[in-house]
Amino acid sequence: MWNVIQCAVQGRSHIKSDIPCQDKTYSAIDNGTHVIALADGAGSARLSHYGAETVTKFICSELTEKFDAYFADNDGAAVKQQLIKGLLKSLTETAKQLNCEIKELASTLLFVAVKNEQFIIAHIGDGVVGYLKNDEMKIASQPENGEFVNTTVFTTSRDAIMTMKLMKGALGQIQGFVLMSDGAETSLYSKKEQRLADVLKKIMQMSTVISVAKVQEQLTQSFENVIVKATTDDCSITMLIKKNEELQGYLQLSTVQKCKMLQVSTKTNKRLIKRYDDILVRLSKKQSLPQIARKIHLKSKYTKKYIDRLYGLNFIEKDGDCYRTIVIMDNESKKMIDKYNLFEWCQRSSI
Amino acid sequence: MDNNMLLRIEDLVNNPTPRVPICLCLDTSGSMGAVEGECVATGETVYEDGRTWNVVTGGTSRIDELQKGVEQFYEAIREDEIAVYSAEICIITFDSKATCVLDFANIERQETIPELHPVGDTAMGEGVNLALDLLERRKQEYKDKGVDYYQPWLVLMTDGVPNGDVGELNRAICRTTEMVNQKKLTVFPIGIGNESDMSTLNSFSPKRPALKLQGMKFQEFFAWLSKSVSKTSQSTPGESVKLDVDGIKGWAEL
Repeated sequence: MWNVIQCAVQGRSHIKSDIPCQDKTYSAIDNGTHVIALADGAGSARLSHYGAETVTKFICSELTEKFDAYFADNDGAAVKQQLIKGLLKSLTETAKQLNCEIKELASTLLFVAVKNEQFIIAHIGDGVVGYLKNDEMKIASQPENGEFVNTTVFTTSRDAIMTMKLMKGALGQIQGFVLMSDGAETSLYSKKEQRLADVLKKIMQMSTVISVAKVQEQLTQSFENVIVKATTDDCSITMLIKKNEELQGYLQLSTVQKCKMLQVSTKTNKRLIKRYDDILVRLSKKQSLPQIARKIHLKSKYTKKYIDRLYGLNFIEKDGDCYRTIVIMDNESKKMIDKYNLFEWCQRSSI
Repeated sequence: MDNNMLLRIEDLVNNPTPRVPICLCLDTSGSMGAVEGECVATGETVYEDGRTWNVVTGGTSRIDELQKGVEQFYEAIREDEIAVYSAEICIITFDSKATCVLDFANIERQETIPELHPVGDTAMGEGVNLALDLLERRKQEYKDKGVDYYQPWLVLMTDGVPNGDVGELNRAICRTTEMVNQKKLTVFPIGIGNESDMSTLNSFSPKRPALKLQGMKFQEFFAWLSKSVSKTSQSTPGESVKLDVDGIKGWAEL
């Protein structure tokens, strides 16, 4: 099973000129197929946010329905043609409803579809498709910008089929996928080194040990407070992350595994690890620093060092002056979180 | 809830701001010393730039107004939070020869604008060719360093008729029009005064006519130019930056 995290945030220039966020993300699960899609509406196209929404929804529905047929077809050009045909058809319908020309709905498009042990990736325009394999972030498809930074290819462009990238394969050791728009690219993809920021790996791994809803909430806050400040453009991201079915909660881990999660040496004194365990257990109920210090019989200034580390690792969250554990602690909390995640998933994907 | 963030500034990659390379290709021939306003003839005459001129005292010369306009352009770019990091300006002057008086660099490093002096003939072709060469070189530097960039701009300002090498002029016109037609260059040819050769300026601009500056409205032109740079530096893929036609009316005859 796979988790989905996604967010799209309106850029500073669009806030200033009262233009809606033209980045759209969408996801779907059906027929054992998970699909995530992201589209960035063309800046000059008046209704491109509708176009972005149309193509993300279309592609999610198309791939959940026909994944096997697309995967089985070894003629890449035919698959591209079929996808473009479908995209243009859905855009034509939207154009009719909005009484506009199809070019007013221009956007980029990135998607990943996964079924059983197979995947399909496609990419039109700029933005980046990446994946996590053997704990390393890799690039599947780079931005297609042409010579100048404010030019790219769109779903409605004549050369969309020529520049469209299409990939398929076996998942193997792939642990997750990420799609991002060019706005997010500014902060999360080094153009010179053609490398994705390491923090994406942290987010993907984090989503296997804390609730997806919590990761989603923190990711949105990060985008609203950090990522949008690095650009004037809209910023969006969506991730598809393999669930860690083996994880039964932090408390069930061996000391070595806990050390790895806490990012401390495996030679660390067991008493120290026990201290972290103790704090995490006690913080299952919201408490302030003096309260927790009193309970673990440690001065506040020393307790704060443990708290700061756990906070930095996103194992606990801050709410005013209080802290609360968010990492999955045991099987019971995992079950509750899984149930909650499913509920969240259904709400977000409208199924 | 405060600061529960997965991403912190230190986690982000640092991509350089995409650049807008702008080349100001300015006529500094003798005729740019022409004066408007109240002035007194000294009785002396001088032959320069293909004609005889009366030497006067007082008044305001075209070159002084151009100098002020360029300085104001820099000031406006410096005050723009986006353009200050994206605009990169190079100044080429052409009189009897073409000279790069200020090479491309980040605005913050270009502290002093060189003083412009009117002297000699109007080697426009040589000036434009040098400008195109330097724009090409700058683009290559961006590519080598992994810096994204926007379509380069060439601003060509002259008050006279080109009288440099004819072959160089034709080569400059061919190169410019080809680049404009291939959407590789934005060109702004601007005529100054009544003696500017608008038909030559038009031949540099296949997509829109050259514009004629109203009187000495250099400052209005450069204010408009800085706003256009600011708009471009914030444009996103698919966003064609439209020229502010109403803004043009403030400084040019259409």
